[in-house]
Amino acid sequence: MKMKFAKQDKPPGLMLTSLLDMFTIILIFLIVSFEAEDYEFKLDPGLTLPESSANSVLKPAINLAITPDSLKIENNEIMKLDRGKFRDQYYTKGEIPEVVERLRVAHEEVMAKEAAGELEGDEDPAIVLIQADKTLDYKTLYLVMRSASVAGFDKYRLAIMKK
Amino acid sequence: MAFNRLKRVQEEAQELNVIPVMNLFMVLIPFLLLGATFFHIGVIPTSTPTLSPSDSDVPKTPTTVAVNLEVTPDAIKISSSSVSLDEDQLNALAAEWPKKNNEYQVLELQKALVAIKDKYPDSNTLTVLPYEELNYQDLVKILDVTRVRQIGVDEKGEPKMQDLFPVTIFSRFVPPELEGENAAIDDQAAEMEIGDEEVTE
Repeated sequence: MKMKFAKQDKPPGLMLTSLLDMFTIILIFLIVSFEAEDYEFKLDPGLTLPESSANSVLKPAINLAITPDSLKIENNEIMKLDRGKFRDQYYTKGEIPEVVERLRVAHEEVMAKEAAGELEGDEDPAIVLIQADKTLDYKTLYLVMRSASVAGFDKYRLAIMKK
Repeated sequence: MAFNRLKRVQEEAQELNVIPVMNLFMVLIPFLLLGATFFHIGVIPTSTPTLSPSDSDVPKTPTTVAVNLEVTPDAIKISSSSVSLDEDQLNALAAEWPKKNNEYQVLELQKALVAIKDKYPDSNTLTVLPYEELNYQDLVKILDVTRVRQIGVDEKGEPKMQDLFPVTIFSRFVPPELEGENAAIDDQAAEMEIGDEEVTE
């Protein structure tokens, strides 16, 4: 009888085994999906990338984002778009002068860095990374690419969401 | 009685203290959550036509053809150009597929590109001329079938891919009725030659 009372005095222990199991599973999942990348890509929150089976890897480049509402170069808003289209007054002869001007400055900076040997790798640094919303039309995209071409960038990386 | 107490003490001593392990997990999980990638971003390398001197040192091999892909609201068409093939040979490579159930027949396009690639294996350049209102997602779908194709799976179960026309060059489709309006663009385009971009995967 005495022994029975002694058992009841002992506080019930917390069952941590199931919690530990759960944590172990989460930990394994996170370790598998962990990717250490030296290049931090910031996806613009105002757009949805198109889905693609392309498997080329992301590399650093001049970041250009085209959302249905705006055009941004290196996260700085350059101009507004009207439901995914550039207003007629913004472009002439198939190029957007303001974008050409901004990208020309960026191009000069990149080339100056390359000349000074500040860039790693032997790849052509004059590359633009374009993140564009999947609902945009080709004309909008081409106007930006053509403007970049006039500014000195003739290679583009179209950002996509891997399937 | 004393034996029972001793037994109970021994049982208690055998319980593993998991609190430090839990503490370790609590530190590791937020750290790994920060670095976890729940979606994967990739890129499609492309270019636009660039001005280059006409006496370019790009070797013009007889086995190379450049394929032009025209995307219209109703169909996709391919044509080819090459310095060493005659007109009849080039015409034989041309094809057109109208939309079926409001979808572009991208698989038919891929079959035709595979046939061209098999015949002229050194060819790798595709010039794309979409119409202005073509949706970006639709354009990417078309590019997916023109750049690579799956030829099976490797021993790890990963898809094995073969390059088709990985060098994609965008140009602009100018309808004949707008040619006058776009004369300024055409003047520049007439002087343009396709650049010799190397696309690295």
